[in-house]
Amino acid sequence: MTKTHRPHKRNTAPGLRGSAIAIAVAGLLLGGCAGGKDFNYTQISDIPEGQGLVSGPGGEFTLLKYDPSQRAASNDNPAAPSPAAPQTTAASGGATGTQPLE
Amino acid sequence: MNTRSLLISTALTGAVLAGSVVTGVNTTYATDLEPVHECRKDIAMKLSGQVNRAVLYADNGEVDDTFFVDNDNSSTRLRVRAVGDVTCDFKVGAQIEVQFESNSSSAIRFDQSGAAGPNNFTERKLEVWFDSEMWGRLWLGQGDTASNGTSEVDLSGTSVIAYSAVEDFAGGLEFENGQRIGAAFSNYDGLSRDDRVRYDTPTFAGFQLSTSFTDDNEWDVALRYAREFGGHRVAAAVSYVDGDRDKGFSSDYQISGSISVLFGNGLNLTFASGTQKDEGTGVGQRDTFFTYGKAGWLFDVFEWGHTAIAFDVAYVANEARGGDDAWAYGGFLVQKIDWVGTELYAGVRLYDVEHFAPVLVAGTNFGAVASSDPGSIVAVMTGARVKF
Repeated sequence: MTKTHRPHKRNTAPGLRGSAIAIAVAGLLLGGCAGGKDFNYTQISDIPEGQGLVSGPGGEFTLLKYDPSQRAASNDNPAAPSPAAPQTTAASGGATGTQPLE
Repeated sequence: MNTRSLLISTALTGAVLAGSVVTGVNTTYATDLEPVHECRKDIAMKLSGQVNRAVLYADNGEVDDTFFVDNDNSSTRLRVRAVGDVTCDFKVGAQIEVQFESNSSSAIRFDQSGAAGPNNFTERKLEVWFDSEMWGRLWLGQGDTASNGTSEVDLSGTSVIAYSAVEDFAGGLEFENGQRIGAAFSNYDGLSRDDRVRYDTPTFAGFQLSTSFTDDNEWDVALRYAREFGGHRVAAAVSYVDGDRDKGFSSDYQISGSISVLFGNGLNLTFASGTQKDEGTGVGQRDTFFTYGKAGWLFDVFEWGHTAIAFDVAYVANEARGGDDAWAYGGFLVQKIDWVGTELYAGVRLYDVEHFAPVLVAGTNFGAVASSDPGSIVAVMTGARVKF
């Protein structure tokens, strides 16, 4: 009985093909995802975004808002106007809450 | 470069390119290539809240009654949030959110005398967080676990009265055999809110990964997705929970998820499903399942705001006991009045629970069986949520 010796050949094609397919699928998924744009999904268990009855378009009363760096600059230069004074819109009955906190 | 290196480098390159496309870091460069950031360092504190009250009529075939309830789909509450910019890309924040539910729709009973529920504020969120666009967000305190909300993604515009937790509509009420609606239905929505530490990754191509570890030594991991394609919105979430029955969780582990699609023409579809299982099998081991579907339409009839209609169906197996088949069907209408932050709503829901497996009856000979179908309850609710 004779044996036929065939040259050893690594069979890498199936694994490579699988990896290539996986990368192609991942690329398609990423491409598909990248084609859209993010939107801010608010969980239904949270207070909904949008207009409030008296708080206005932002839906929140801004109780306090200021820029501490401007306050520091103002303290360094007492002659300058003081734009950094805390803004307390609720006290005046208004509401400017248009910037999301997150 | 061998094949493995090629694959890895390809994957990394793809990830980096995708990241550069989607992260959208708002940085401009001067002629000397030094980055120029324009940012403010604000400190702010804001107050918000809502009141959500409704009239609920229910009939279980034996008794019927009308209730004035706090709609537990979205309870009456107050929230105070504070945030401060530490650097251009690092913020610290805190929030306190409490609810006050007098006669909650999930706590009422047919035979109650006086309003149901605690006559005081109860906790929802008491937490601090540290946030970076580059590194994500770290939360500490009482608040949403990573998995909370993963069964409840819903873009229908009707969640104020109907979503996958169908028991919130009238969960406290009893069927003819005394079993409460809330005992027969669940949407296995993660670990709810708890005292925990939680981490959220930055959003990447609409995806965000989260994990949390609770005071009860339970942990969870969740993946969320929200993306808009040419006017069509898709949101989804899935989570895994490693529970601890000794600490009160229902099962050893839980898997749940949901997806909602809102098409540009207002049509929307929502689907949710989940399961709770124990690691063992046999008597006393938990093996439950729920699934939920909703079809709806958002459209504009009045200039006041969107009108939304939706119909849903839910199925829960083995929640109260092995062999229970619980079904819920509903139809809902929501009308927004944008300029006063108000949603008017109405809906009807039918709960039906059947028991198919025999149950052992205490005090009888071994093998004795009995069957008791809890029956049906029809409930009608109408009310308003006013965000102030």
